Amino acid sequence: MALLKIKDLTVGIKQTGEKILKGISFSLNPSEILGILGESGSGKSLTALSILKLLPPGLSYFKGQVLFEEKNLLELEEREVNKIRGKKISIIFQDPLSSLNPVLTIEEQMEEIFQYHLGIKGKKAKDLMIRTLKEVGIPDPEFRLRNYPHELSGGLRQRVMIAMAIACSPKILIADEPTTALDLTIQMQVLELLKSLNQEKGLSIIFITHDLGILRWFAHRILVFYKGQILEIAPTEKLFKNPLHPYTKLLFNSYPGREELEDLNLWTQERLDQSLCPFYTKCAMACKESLEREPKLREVEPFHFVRCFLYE
Amino acid sequence: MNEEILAEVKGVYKAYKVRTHFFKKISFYALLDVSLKVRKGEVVVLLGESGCGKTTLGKIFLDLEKPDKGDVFWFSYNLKSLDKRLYKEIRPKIQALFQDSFASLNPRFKVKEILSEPYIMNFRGSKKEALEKALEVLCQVGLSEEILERYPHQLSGGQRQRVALARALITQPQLIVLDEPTSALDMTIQSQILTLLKRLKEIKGLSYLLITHSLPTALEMADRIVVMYLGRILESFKKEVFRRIDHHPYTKMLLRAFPDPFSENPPEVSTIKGEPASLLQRKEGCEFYPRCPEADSLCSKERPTLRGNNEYQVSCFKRHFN
Ligand SMILES: Nc1ncnc2c1ncn2[C@@H]1O[C@H](COP(=O)(O)OP(=O)(O)OP(=O)(O)O)[C@@H](O)[C@H]1O
Ligand SMILES: Nc1ncnc2c1ncn2[C@@H]1O[C@H](COP(=O)(O)OP(=O)(O)OP(=O)(O)O)[C@@H](O)[C@H]1O
Ligand SMILES: [Mg+2]
Ligand SMILES: [Mg+2]
Repeated sequence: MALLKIKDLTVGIKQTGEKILKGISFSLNPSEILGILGESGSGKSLTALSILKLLPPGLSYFKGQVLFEEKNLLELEEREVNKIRGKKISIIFQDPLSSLNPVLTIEEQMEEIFQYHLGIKGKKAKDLMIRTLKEVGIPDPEFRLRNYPHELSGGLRQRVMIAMAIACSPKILIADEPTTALDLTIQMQVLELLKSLNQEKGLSIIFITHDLGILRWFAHRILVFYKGQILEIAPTEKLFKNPLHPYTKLLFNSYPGREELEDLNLWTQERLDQSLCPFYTKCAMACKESLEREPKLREVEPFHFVRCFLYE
Repeated sequence: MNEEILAEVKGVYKAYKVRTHFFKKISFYALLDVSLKVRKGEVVVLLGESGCGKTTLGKIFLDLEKPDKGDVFWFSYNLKSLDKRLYKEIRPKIQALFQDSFASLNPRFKVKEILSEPYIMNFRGSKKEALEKALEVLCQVGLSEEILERYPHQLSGGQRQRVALARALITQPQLIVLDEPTSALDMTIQSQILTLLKRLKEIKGLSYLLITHSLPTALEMADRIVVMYLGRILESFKKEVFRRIDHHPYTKMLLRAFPDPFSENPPEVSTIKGEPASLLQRKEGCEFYPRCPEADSLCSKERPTLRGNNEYQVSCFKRHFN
């Protein structure tokens, strides 16, 4: 049984009706680490926000369901969603500066969360704060509690966000590029911490990142996003051994030192787009079928799904 | 290599003050006795733990922060004694590109204004000239004319980063400080931008001071790699000797822990030892001593200094030169 199931999630701009997420479906299994990879602007962050009903103003849900504990979160009252957010499902936002309150110290912000979700305050709350900050590798946690967000380096800020997200022992953690500002040793330590929460406490994680190395050694399964659609789904090892979609191949070949990119023609003007395949405009293959119908996400090998005419 | 030095810091210290208990303030050093040169046509990469002072050092190179002690040189002029007129002339030759271009692009300006403003300011050109220039740099970063009419929020992350780069290029800089310029972008765009930076370097002879956490990016781009730790330089080496030298224990730890997506071997996380370092409680001895697998009693008492030659310098008692 899936822990979280997203069905045909379609989100777009309210005024124009333009779709940004075009029918996203996937599930998160208990104790799974699910990686999300994809183009900048393909809707990864928006998917994360949609799950918790945190859509930015101007956008709305057109279709779809987010099923968690037998309820569709999208139909719940704000009051009920609030109880789940931060407690059962918590999220680390992509931009830590904008999601920390600039006029409150770290201690004041953590206090708020603890009081709201755990009902603890005072010394008990403070002990827990210090412990969690230590766990995510923040030196001098007591001192850092008195800092305002702008006084922290990029990496410290990001670790504070991680600490806040795991402090209430959630069931699901959605992490949107949580380690991009961290250096390698701390990044690996934070990942080890998340891995141990995953293994020991069964924490399920949705992990969004552009870092192929992290996904390779951390995620169990990977989704590849492109222009609001999922192009490929596969268990991690399979995906790295045998990427199927031309976009996934391009992504892997873009890794520094792998191949000279000049050949890959990324600079060409996009082809005029009347095609129904999202990758048509940049694809070396550019199948003719794309002009007639939409490629469907198909299981072409066990557990390996791809949306591409080449495999139909 | 041409030995002309574009920018240099010598013996730089920088302290910040922070509150501890209510009204009490303490200060700590974010940079300690750092010296570094960037030569013409050279790419210097700064690697190091988060909070070790990379951005601070970058800002000192850019004169966005003043050091508490030590000197900063631009084209061998000491900034302390540089007169205002000359400063104004040199200033545009050293530019910056930060990770978060969204924050650094004015949201109320269209791209054409974002690009032409610095040109008009620095070269007192006409609007028409500025627009021509804007189009030229836009072209260099692989964007097309229609982008000129857009606002920053109407651009994708990669487009924004290229606009920010175009803005840096319009003043015809010789050195660009790049602070994690691609870490928020996807692989295909990252590699576009890196390819672009390399090409600009070749065509225009640009130099970069590049701050990054990504080892493959560092190796791809660098002529020289500088590893920092707790506000000091631990190691500095030319890229050619990367595979040949016996690295500092900290660098070794970094290399082993690196997750390579296309290797058969998982990263060795267990080699990461000890707590991340604290700027507030500096101990005597080597700064890396508490986490070092090779440390002995000397390391806990005395502090090593940076020794070596032009190819390779290291600050460690356990490394020897012949
Ligand atoms: N408030 C908004 N109004 C209109 N469009 C928006 C809004 N927020 C996001 N978008 C658009 O939705 C698309 C998806 O954005 P999203 O932030 O989910 O991308 P992403 O996959 O997370 O990209 P990145 O890897 O760069 O973080 C983008 O094209 C973006 O321009
Ligand atoms: N304006 C400031 N006020 C107080 N402390 C500061 C300020 N700016 C930086 N610091 C502190 O100085 C130290 C070095 O910060 P810096 O931003 O240079 O680190 P960094 O190496 O760039 O780290 P990261 O990789 O996380 O970006 C950090 O401990 C940081 O908290
Ligand atoms: Mg995002
Ligand atoms: Mg920094």
